[in-house]
Amino acid sequence: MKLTVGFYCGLARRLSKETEAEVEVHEGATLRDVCAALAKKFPAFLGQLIVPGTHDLVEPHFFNVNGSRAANLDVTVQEGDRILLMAITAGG
Amino acid sequence: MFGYMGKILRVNLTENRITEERLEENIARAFLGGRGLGAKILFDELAPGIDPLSPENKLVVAAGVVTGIPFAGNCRYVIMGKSPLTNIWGETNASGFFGPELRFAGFDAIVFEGKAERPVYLWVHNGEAQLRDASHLWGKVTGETEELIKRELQDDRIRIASIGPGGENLVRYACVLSDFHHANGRTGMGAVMGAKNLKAIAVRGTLKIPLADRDRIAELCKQASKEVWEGAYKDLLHKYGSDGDLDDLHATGRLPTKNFQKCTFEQYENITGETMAETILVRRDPCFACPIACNQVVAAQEPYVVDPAYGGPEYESAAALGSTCMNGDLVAVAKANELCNKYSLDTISTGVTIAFAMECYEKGLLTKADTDGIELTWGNHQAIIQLVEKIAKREGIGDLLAEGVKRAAEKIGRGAEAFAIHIKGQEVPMHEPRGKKGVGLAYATSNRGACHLQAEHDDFFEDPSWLFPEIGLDKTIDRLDMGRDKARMVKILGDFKALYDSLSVCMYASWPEGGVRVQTIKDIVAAATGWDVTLAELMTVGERAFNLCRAFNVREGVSRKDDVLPARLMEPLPEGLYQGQAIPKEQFEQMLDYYYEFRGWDKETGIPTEEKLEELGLGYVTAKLKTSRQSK
Repeated sequence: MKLTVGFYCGLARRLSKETEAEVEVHEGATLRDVCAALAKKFPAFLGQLIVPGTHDLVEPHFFNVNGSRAANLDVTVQEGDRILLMAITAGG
Repeated sequence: MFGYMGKILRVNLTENRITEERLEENIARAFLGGRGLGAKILFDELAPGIDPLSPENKLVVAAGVVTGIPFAGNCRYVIMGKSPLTNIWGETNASGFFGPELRFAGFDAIVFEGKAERPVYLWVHNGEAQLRDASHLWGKVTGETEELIKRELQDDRIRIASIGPGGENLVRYACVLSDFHHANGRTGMGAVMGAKNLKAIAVRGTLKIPLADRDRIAELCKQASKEVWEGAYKDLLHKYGSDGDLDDLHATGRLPTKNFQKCTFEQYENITGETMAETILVRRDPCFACPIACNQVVAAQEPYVVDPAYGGPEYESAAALGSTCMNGDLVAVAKANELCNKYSLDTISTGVTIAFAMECYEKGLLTKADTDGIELTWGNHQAIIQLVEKIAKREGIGDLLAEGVKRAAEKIGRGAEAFAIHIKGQEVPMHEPRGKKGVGLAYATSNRGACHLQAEHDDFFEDPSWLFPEIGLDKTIDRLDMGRDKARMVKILGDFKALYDSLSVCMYASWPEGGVRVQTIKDIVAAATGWDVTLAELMTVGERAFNLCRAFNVREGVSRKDDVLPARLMEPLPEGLYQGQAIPKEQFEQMLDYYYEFRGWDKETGIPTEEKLEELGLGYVTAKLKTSRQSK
């Protein structure tokens, strides 16, 4: 299935030069699978934004799915979900 | 008493008299230092209703109990007095080296009162203090003032907090600078110094802070060093400074732009921390004992010569002098920042005031006839630079803008008030409350007027890993939530920040933004003082300080009617991820009800109740508030 991930953090936009990206993942995919697909599409994400191997998100980044913060990367997603890649912004 | 130098210096400028007072242990334990100690001194000693620029105002310079103990984030100090910008509680913090040096020079705090007959500066050295003539320094910018004092006293290691022409000319948002670029930025304490003919405070010392358990402190400092390296923001802060956040705030549509009319900025990439690092950055400077080194130092030749001695813009300065004025020229931002540091002007208030003037110009309320011929169009960075100069010198249009947006709008009239983005008279900083609504409540209830540092921002507390049940932060809350739990969160965080400002520790080194754990800081306080302190006791100190500052403001006439947001910040956001998000008045008022309930304040008036003050050991404050109300 195809999913669109919105980039609502500066690092993802800077590394990809995009504000969103479409990725293809299998039915029943988790957010970790989305991370793997993003890393494949944008190798520059590896290291700075996505941990090589585990495909964890580098702190303080997280996903927001359909308006709520995703508890972890094991959350499954489906076609039509609104997926945002974000960062905790400190302020100050 | 351990943990303190145990002495407060009192400097009567009118009588040219300096005395020492003992810091009593019961006061130290109840207020710790910094904000808490200043609140105690100023509430007790200032009469309500005084003119902040008169000799009746006092200025307290205070370090905290951990200031100068060598762990990351221990370097801050606070300057406090009645604010000439807001006419209420004034308070401003800075990092760097001045705070620790004040303690090594023998004092936990200095209280200035009266007004010197002619310009002076205070020289404090190893327990001795003297007032020295500063006539030859008057009119000099901050950096030159520092250099001349160091030359005069023949010691390069002296730390100096000084004002430039902005403070001398009583710009209502003049700040105080130390080491050329560490700014005690907000609420106009530089103008209070100027009104007192106090050009600078110079400190130097080699005295040791008495510590109850020096071995334990050494262990805890090692522990803190380990923790600071584990902080989630350490690398970001080191590489880009706080301006590393600017691109995230643009991406989420929370970057104040065009005087808060917009929340994204097309030219944002020009002014990010990343761009700064790739273009004009020359080095990163640390503060005392801190390995993060988040101070970004910049230099440039074209289109402006920017002097690296004055540091570089952090996030607030980059957004206030950049996106808020639609200025996408990084070197111009850096130049305006340099001038603010030279002249001692708060970058936030300066930027927001210039943006206000630009909107007045756009809407025809100001014309070239008012602006001394300057074309005050959005993004015109030559105009921004010219205005910074004029504000500092109170020349032409600068004289009006030196008053801040509230007073300037009242003078301009014809609806200009709608473009004056302030709370309680202080210009709103660079955080969009419609995309993090706890910030809106913290803005409205801040004791020093609009302030982004009264409560850590909402983003953290959506994530369970950032919760802190030991202080009551025990459930995640969405950034857009405006309910009861959000009000409780803002109350707890308000007490927590008041504690940090009393200790005085840096938010970038300590939880949640920095790695040093609160438990470690508590243990350092215990090992330094020998007191068996608990986290609950420390949180009560924060709550006590917060309430005493509120009581100070109540005495000046503040009540629920003043806990408001500018109308513009309640309207639906026009664009971005949170397009359409507003802060509806009814919901805001409901949130305020909840907040007062958690605070133990009267819901109708917003005044701390007798029971709450009694509970905090501030029973005597009730009587003073009653006397004050009766005399009105």
